[in-house]
Amino acid sequence: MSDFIPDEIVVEILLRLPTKSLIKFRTVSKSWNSLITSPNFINTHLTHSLTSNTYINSYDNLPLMMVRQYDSTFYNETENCKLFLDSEDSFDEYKALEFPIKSYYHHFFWAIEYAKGLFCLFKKDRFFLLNPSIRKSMAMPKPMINKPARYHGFGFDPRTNDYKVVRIVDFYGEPTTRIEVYSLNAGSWKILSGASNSFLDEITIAFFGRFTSYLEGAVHFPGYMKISNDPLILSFDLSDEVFQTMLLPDGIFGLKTMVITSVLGGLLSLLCYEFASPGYKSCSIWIMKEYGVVDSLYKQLTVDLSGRITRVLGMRNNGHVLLDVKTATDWVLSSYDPSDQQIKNLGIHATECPKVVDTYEENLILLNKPNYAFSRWGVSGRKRKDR
Amino acid sequence: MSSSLEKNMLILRSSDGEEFIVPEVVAVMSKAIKNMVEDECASNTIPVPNVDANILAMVIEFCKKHDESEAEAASDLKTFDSEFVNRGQEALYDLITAANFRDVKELLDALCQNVAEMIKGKSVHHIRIQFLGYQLFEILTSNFIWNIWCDRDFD
Repeated sequence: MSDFIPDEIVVEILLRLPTKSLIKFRTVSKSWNSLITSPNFINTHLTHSLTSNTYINSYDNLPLMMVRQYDSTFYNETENCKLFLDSEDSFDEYKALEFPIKSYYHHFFWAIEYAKGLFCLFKKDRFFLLNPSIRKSMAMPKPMINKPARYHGFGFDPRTNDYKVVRIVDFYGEPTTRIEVYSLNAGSWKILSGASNSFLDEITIAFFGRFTSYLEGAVHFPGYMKISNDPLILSFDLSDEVFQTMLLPDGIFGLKTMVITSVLGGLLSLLCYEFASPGYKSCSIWIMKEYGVVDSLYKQLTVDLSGRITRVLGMRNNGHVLLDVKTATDWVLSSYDPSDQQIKNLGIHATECPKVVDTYEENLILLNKPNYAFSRWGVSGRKRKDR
Repeated sequence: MSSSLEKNMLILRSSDGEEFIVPEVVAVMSKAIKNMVEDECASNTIPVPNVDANILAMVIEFCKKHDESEAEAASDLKTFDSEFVNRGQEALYDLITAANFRDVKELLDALCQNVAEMIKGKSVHHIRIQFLGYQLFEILTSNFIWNIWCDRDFD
């Protein structure tokens, strides 16, 4: 290995390296820098990390959970992005990742989703993509439909190795629904033609959960038929850019249930909250064992909440459920053990509730994009030039 | 000699003249040899230039193992791979050259994986010396500040 290795072999070796080493090795030489930051290499590295079973990430493939939360006090607002080691009997902080975006003055970003290593955040009409594993962020252009969208979805299109954002804009009172899709590869928004989406006007999307869920190249929303009130799951296929519906059997959730679609343990699931003043009575977790097969939907467990204000966030490797529990002053991350129905405080506090909890994944997406400069005054202040 | 040779056997001759008799199924794991066999431009003896006897023996050992163990558990093969490629740098370099030149995909994959695991925690200096052939003198006399900046910890 002393003299030189042919270029094509260098590429093969670099493809197998974790992102942390690649970021460091950009400084080896100019040609390595241009190789690692080339779109082609970034794409191939992504494909390799997703498909190869020998890929080892920067943290030796440890079972890491990513927790994103927002803290605000009078003087200080911080976005946190931390990795937690999800072992059998503990959930300890492993590493804090730098969060390159700051939102000031109590206007935190809404996180649409964390999918395949990328966060999608928004605030009013500004949308951002963020890759915490390489500390890169990017601002998207403003959407073309100048109305606040009611539903957002974000996910990865495996066919073209693309990340896409979908906005569903309802005009109150008007019967038309308009759909807009952003593609990272194209770098622009696109309005979908109305004809193929006309059936959306017959569907009410249940608007309770901010988080949609990404799985199998599609994002999912819970909903009802407008006339018959039949429950269904609406999915948007990011590759074909079409909506599909999965009609659900009666009795899974009624009109008074708050339903959120989620992904637990890699399976599509429904979180059905039954309400009882002042908090929730219980949350039933339904899991679809086989994707797209309605009959494989079964009730995994019911979390007894009895009056507490709480949100189900995710599931740990040992089957415990992660909850966000409201205390007098803030929200605290807790772990629910289904066997003895105890809620254990994990001691991770945040002043605002929208947390994102997901399995850590890493790639080099956004590495070749210019970093967005954030001003002290947040993102919606004066106009500035996007580089 | 060719008369005593069984039908599905091939002779590979290394750069230093040593000959190896291997089954055809093993030899055609190299794409380059496979193409030669398919085009029927291979006589009884296939010369393998640039690869000496020592390295050729290693490559044949690897191919034989992979050919036999197709039905075996993948984890066994994986341990074999990682043990096989765990060698000194000189041998590793020669193996990479041989695998690349003869186009043996499985071997190349295992070798690249091994090198990746070797270098992933190394410093930028180390990589420059290993991959670009930089000498210590050049590193010390080239842009000193730049090198300090390169070697800061990226954690």
